[in-house]
Amino acid sequence: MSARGHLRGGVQPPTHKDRSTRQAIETLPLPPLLTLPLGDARPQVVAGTHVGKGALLATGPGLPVHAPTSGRVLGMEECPVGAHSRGLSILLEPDGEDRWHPDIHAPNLWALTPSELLAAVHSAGIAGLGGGGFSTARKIAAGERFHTLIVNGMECEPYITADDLLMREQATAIISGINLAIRLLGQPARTLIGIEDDKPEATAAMRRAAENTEIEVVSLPTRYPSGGERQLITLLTGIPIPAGERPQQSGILCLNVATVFALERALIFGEPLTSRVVTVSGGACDRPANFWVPFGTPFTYLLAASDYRPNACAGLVLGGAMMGEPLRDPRAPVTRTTHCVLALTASELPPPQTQPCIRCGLCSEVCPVALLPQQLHRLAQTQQYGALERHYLDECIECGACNYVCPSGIPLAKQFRDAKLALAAHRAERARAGRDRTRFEAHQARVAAEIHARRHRHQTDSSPTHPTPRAGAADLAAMAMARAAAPAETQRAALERAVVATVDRLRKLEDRLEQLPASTPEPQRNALRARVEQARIDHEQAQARLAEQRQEDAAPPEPRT
Amino acid sequence: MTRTATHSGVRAEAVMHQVALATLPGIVALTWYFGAGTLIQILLATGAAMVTEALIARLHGHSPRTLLADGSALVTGVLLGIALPPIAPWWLAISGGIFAMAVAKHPFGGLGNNLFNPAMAAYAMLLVSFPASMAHWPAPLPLLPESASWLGLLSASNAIFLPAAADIDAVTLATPLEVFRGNSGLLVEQLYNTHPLFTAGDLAAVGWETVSLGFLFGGLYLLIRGLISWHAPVAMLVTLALLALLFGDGGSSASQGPPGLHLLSGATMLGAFFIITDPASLAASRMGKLVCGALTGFLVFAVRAWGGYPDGLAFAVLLTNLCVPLIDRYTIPQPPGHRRRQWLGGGDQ
Repeated sequence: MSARGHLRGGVQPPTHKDRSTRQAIETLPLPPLLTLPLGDARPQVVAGTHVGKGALLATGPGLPVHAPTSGRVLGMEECPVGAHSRGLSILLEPDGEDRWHPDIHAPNLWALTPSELLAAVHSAGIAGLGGGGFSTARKIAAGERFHTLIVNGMECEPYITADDLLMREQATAIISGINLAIRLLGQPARTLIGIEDDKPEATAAMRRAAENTEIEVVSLPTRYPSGGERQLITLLTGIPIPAGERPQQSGILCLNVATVFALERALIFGEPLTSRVVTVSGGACDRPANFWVPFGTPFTYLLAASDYRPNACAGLVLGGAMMGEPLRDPRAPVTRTTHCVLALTASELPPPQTQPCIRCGLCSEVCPVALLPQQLHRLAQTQQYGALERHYLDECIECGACNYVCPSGIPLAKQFRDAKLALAAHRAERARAGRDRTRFEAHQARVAAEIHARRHRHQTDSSPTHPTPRAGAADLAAMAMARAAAPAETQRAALERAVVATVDRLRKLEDRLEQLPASTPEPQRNALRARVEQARIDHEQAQARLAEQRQEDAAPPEPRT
Repeated sequence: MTRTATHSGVRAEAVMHQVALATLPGIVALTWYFGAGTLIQILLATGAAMVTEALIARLHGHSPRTLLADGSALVTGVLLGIALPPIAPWWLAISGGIFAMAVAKHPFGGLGNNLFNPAMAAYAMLLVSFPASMAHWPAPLPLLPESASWLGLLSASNAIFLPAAADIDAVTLATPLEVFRGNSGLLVEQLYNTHPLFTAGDLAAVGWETVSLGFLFGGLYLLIRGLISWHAPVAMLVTLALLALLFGDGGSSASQGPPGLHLLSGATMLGAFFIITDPASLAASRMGKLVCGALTGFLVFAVRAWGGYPDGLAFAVLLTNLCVPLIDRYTIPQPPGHRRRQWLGGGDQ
């Protein structure tokens, strides 16, 4: 079978993949120290503890952290993480024995219910290894009635060959992982593996492994960014995923081949996810290659292993050539989402921006989601958030195809990434301002109702025209309506009830004010004082009304005009 | 600059140089049929535009080299020089080149920010300010009177630099659009059979048709190289041809001219491929480009048929340019997965 849909736009940069596919995936000796970023997890070990490989080091609302090898926990420290940030990390000193933690054993697959299986997947730390890094179990749990499983072996970004080599070497294990995923999803009707046609060896290996199964291996034309999740789904199924929804909600799940492989290791062997394949490449590496890397390995260690020449290197990039980000501190460690690190020479780096946008529109021709980057660029520069929203900034997948063709060398994708964050902040600000405004308007309405009520206090025939949701005003409105409609006796009864109700509220508020602890901050105290004052006014008004009504009852009714 | 994994290697100045290069077939045809004056006009307009841009760069505190390097002043100058009558006096091209940069381009923010196409803004300014000088087109080479020969560099220079002394009336001839404009009694067929412009021409008017084909050829080159998109030119040419058909009036004396005439004379092809495709003043989306092209086609025809000028490209382009922000607003393409098309989505700008 071939592609059902087509990729809009896209580019075809030179892939430079053959540099790192000449030899098999290498396993390096363990580095002297592993740095394991905690993220939102809380440590479960203390400094000095000796842990086995796969032992749980930290757990929390997100993904757990496991020991990639056996060794001694040295402590926690703030360390570089990712391309440009820092975070609290556990330092683990490998003991060189790489001995498994005694509790690691294969789960009894047939005894587990689907939800227990998902829990096992989550506690093994399985996450999207294609770059998302999101918990695979949660991704599956977010959908239901899956009809299609798509396995992403596209690897469309230049230089990166980690998935390519994994498919060549571990095709059987990947197919076994896919079969497990099929079980997790409740037997979807179709399972498709998409592989770009520049990986014939991987395609052949996967086809061989998938023989006698229902799994279809589909070779797709090499075109960046056809490996984007939504792009691949559309290519393979022809189904566009509704905006603002995840594919899971349409019954389609997309998993990366490396994720499926990790799934197999976790469910068949009980091994938590603690290592992955990383491509190290670029013109400044004399020996570009793929390595099996335990998480926590610093990039400096990997670069040294691939004969990196610092003098020739003009820029280190974390990730691929299109979407990668400049690596600020090469001591940062490999994590789940690290698929590639590049040491690029000056001629391999994108050109510096030479001039402003000339609006040539080449970017909008290659944009896979039909955006108008030339417009977004201008709107982002001038921070026109409403217009950015109307130009669908949120749909940008940050693929960088626009950067690639921009004749002015403008780093558009980075600008859009920043603009998306700024837009989100602007939205939050707008929502907060909206809430404040609603509150302020309610206050204004209360004050207006008050003034109105006072002004009409002596006009016996008037009724409040500013009903507000507040109880006091509602009382007044009720009083007025009662007066207009009911005979004098029931009116008086209603007014008496209002007087009782208002005095009751006044007492309660006064009590609360008295009982406020001494430590109460002044603004809060003032707010309560204001409410007491308000209740007092309500009460006085109710009393005045009652007095009027009594006079009225005593005197003969006035003729109405 | 070569193609790498991080950049296509296509730079803005290369785009501009390709555009300038693509005007060559049209320029050759112009020079062949209307004399070497075109080359002088191009030199004058380009020189004025580039010097003005360099001065503005200095005013901004930039090095003139950085501003000139993008080649856009060159393209503007070339297009203006092409559009001017080959024997127009020298100060037209000079003031046009200055106007294009100092009024139409840089006050709006320079390259990419100009609302109007600078060459057309300058042309329109010259047309309304100096209508007489702008109307003198020489006769195409085959129709020159026996006493005159091809306007070489020398005779063209005479006409351009010494307009008072030169007897340019001897070599001028009405343009085909002017012929149709002045027609009051002849059927289209009679006109085609009697007027020398058309009897000597194969498709429309002699000379003009070749020049138009030259620009069409250059435009196709730009299309194939992916430097312009087909949307605006095709929309403009189709609209213009359809309107000409609609108001052709069966070839009667009230006809506004057959589609062939409208497509292959005046500045139609130059406009369709080199003027309205100027990305700075064109709508951003494909749909927007179609709308812009169709609007320009309609306006060109409207000016030719019912307006005060024989050719209306400059005015049509400027009016379309004015509408671009509005067109852009309502032609934002929808990313895949969006179901509703919000044609009239409100805004907060």
